[in-house]
Amino acid sequence: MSSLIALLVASVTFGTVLMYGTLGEILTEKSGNLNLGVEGIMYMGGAFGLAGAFTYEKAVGVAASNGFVAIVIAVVTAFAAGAIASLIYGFITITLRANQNVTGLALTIFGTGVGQFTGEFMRVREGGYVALSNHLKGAFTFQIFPSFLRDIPVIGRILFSHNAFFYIAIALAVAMHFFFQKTKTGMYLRSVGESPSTADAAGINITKYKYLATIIGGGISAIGGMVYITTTAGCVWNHEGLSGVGWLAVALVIFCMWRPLNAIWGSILFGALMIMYLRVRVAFIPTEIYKILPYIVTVVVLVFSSMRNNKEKQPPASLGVNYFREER
Amino acid sequence: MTNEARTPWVRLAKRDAMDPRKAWAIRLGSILIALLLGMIPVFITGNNPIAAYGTIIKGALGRPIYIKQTVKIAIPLLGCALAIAPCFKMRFWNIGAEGQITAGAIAASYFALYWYQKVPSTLLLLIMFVSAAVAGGIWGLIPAFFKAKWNTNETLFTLMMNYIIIGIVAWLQGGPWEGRKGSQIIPMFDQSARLPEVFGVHIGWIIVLVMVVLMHIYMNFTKHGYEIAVIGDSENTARYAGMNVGRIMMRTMFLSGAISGIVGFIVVSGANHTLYRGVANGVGFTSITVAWLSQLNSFAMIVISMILAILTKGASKLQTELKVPMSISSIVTGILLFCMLSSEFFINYQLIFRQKKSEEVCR
Amino acid sequence: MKRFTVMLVIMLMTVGMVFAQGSKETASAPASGSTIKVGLLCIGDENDQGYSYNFIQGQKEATAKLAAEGINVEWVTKYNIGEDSTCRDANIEAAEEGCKIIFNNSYGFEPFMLEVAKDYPDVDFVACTNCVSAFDDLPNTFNAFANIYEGRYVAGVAAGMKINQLIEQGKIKPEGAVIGYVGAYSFAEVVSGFTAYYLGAKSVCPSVTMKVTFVGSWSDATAEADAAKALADQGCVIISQHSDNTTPATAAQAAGVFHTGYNADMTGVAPAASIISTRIDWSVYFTEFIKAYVAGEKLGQDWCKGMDDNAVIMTKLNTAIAAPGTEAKINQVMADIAAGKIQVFDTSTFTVKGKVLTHAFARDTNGDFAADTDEAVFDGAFHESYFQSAPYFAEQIDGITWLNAAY
Repeated sequence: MSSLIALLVASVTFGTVLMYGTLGEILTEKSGNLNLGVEGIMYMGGAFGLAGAFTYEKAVGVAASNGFVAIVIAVVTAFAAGAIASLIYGFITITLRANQNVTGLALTIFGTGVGQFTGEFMRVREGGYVALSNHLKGAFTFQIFPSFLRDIPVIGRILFSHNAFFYIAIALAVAMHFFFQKTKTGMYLRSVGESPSTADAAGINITKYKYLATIIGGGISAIGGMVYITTTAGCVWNHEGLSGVGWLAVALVIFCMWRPLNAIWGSILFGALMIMYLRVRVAFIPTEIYKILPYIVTVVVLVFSSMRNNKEKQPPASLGVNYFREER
Repeated sequence: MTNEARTPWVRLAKRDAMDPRKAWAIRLGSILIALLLGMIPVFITGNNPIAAYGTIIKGALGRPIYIKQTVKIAIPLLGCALAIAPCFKMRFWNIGAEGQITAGAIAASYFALYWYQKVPSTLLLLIMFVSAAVAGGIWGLIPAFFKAKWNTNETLFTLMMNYIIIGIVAWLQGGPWEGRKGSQIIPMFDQSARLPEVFGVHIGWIIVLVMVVLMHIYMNFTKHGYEIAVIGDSENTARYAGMNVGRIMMRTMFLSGAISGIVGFIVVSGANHTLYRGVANGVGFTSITVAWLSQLNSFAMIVISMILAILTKGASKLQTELKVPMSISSIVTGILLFCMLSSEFFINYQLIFRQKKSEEVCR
Repeated sequence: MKRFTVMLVIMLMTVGMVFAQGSKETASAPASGSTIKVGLLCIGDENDQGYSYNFIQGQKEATAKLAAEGINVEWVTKYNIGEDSTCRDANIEAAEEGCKIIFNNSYGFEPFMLEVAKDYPDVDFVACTNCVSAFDDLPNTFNAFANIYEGRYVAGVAAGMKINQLIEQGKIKPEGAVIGYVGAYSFAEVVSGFTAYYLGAKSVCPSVTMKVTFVGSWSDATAEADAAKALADQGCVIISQHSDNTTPATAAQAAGVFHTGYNADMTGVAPAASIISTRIDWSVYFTEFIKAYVAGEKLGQDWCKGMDDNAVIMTKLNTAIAAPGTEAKINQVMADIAAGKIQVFDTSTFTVKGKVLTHAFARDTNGDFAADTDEAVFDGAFHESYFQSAPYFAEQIDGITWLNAAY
């Protein structure tokens, strides 16, 4: 039992990273844009988030630096980096109508390059490694709930022992759920992704919706990269650290069937699958096979949902397809 | 009056067809713009951007051995772009070339590791070639089957297939094929399992150049190529014309996967001489952009893949000489792709500005 | 269209020629006086604060030492090289740029390095931590390592003393004395390291046991942190590591347990957890090799030195958390190791499946990757790094549990 709780708690750390990546991509895909650049976006978010906090700490000095301010700066810089990256993607696919798959892959190449470049450039400039002080590191992983809550048996560790980013991600998922289901804007956005021509005919400004969803979604995904660097990677830039995380988020979007609430448990499950080999050992399953489970599960989900052809559990109908009013 | 209110000041219209020369001029222009934009990060590092491009060219083409290395980088890019072309022509978004390369590489490696003493070199290479093609083909066929049968989203399916097969290589590395215990390293291939060299570069370059010609013929002068083009234009038209869309899809994906598999064979047998999880090294993704930017034209792919190879190779020189991080090549490549993708817009569309009121009234 | 293609190719080639001829490469300029160009290829970069960082420290120190003797070293350093064919390219480039010596810092580089070495007989290629170069038929390939197991043994002593203190304070029971170890792969270098560490701890705390988790990567910050966390969750009170990042230290601190490090002083990142670290001082080797090269001599093809030559050193003890008396004790142990009084793998101190180890081969000569030559057990001890620099102790001794042996 206690080892199960320990596994769950540990899964949350990486799960939180995935949750941001996934929620951002869900928002983007709901508008019908398949942004395959999440990998690059998260790299940029990680590099710029760290750079933001690092620069802040250098500017005011370690002693004077405030953990809260550092977190805000890191979130803002990461979000901005992701938003700008997605703006490029949005401009090329929405306004210039280029192929979404290709543009997304280009963004992955570009974003990975920018992230690694930034991290490496900081190192060259500093003449050593780039890392935050322990003081700020503590702020990023600070458990926000008081110890009497954390000490409640079983529930305390499961529910109250995480850092702020986790709870923010949950709040975000719930908010997105309500946004899609209950608000007019959310329903308009869904209709843009499902059937742009109908939405257009109904007078919805397709371009505006697509741009906003893509940019905000990219920003959210980028925060995931920042959370990775500042929580699981120990506030140090890591050249290959983020590789594959963005693609895992793309897989997770499918696994969650484009539903924000599913992303909560889905990302914790994926987080668990990624580290399970360190904790749960089944003799006949080699460790590396554990690590491909998330992808196998995703494929199975994808296949079954297409077989059942359940309208509720499908990708947004126009996913990956650009909208040309002239061709309506 | 109402008419005027509804007409925006600028609107778009699809061009019929631009003079190809003009179109390529636009594309060339976009490459130049990209190279200009690519100077920004160099500038940030405090270096002279022009000198930096000089270093890149020097590092990629400055010596015969550098040229050979550059060509080696271009070979898989070009080969894999050829694999992508028929799928994308068909609007089947295969982003699983990465995995199909890996599948081919696994099959070829199996024979290289365990059959090298049983058969002579030429036969061994032939077996590796064929098995790689089959393995890659099957890996590509799986998503196509589900697409044909249940319309499963192929973009996401092929993407997932990449990570599954890469995980399998990781398992082989640490498990059954491992060399020194615990090292996670598969031994180097025997000499007989390695591709011979012509002009100092393994003969993979000849294989891909032959494939360039074959693919050009296949796409433009065969019934298959025609069918692919029709499906790409409209699946419904193809159905009305009596084509078995599902079968053509599977056939094309098998072909595409097979070519990627051959690339996997070329990479393990010609360049790496061993297998590891990073065998595809992003080629499957980059080559998609190569194929698309070349307008799926086999010959244009040669140029584009060479440009990207020059950037990659030259950047490592940039790192040692000017301390500009090597990742600059990814940035410039990204910018290049963005610019070229954008340029297509100006080739395919024209902006029509709202005409003067008087004219509108006249009309 | 075709004309365009041809034109572009011609254009690119012309540009290439112009640049190539216009600027003679600096590399081809003859080395003046005693300036020597040396390559260092790293698997990571200093941001790991660990493995590659340690090499760069060695590089800097060696440069300073050599400069004091009038030898100027011009380094060509390449970072983030993969253990794949990019490593071959990096070696070629370094050789083409005029490097006389090229140090490869990762185990997996060697097979690719060896293929390049054939084509550049005038350049010396060094594969640090690996074991083929020394015994192949190429005279210009070298191996180097240091007796890091000695340093781990000492770190183990410090850990054992901390555990004793915890037992005395009543914080844990003697049977709760469990060490957790984050290893990269179940690879001789790692096995040898954690066994030495365990034996060091056991020499002061007889009840200690150890759990080892392999993360399956030399450098994976997340997995290393998770592994450390998992070990702490399973009751380990001290964590040590053989992997490249500092995240095990931070994870140990977060879990409220103690830690000893590798490659770099980690008391900075985990002041409340990290007691001490051990590291190889590569400047010793770099200095020796380069000095010999300049003097026109050659070092042996297999180089290995230990604590007595300061090739393996301990970082500053974190006295704020170390058990009292640790400083004196480890100084004593270090002196004893240097003097040969302590044999780290003394066969009277451990058993394998309940039996005393009487036989183990050191080297593989027929290429099947199983050791078949050179008996390593004699004079009452297993002689590590005696027949070759790269460690070859690969026994699973009693008291150490491998949690996952899939790697």
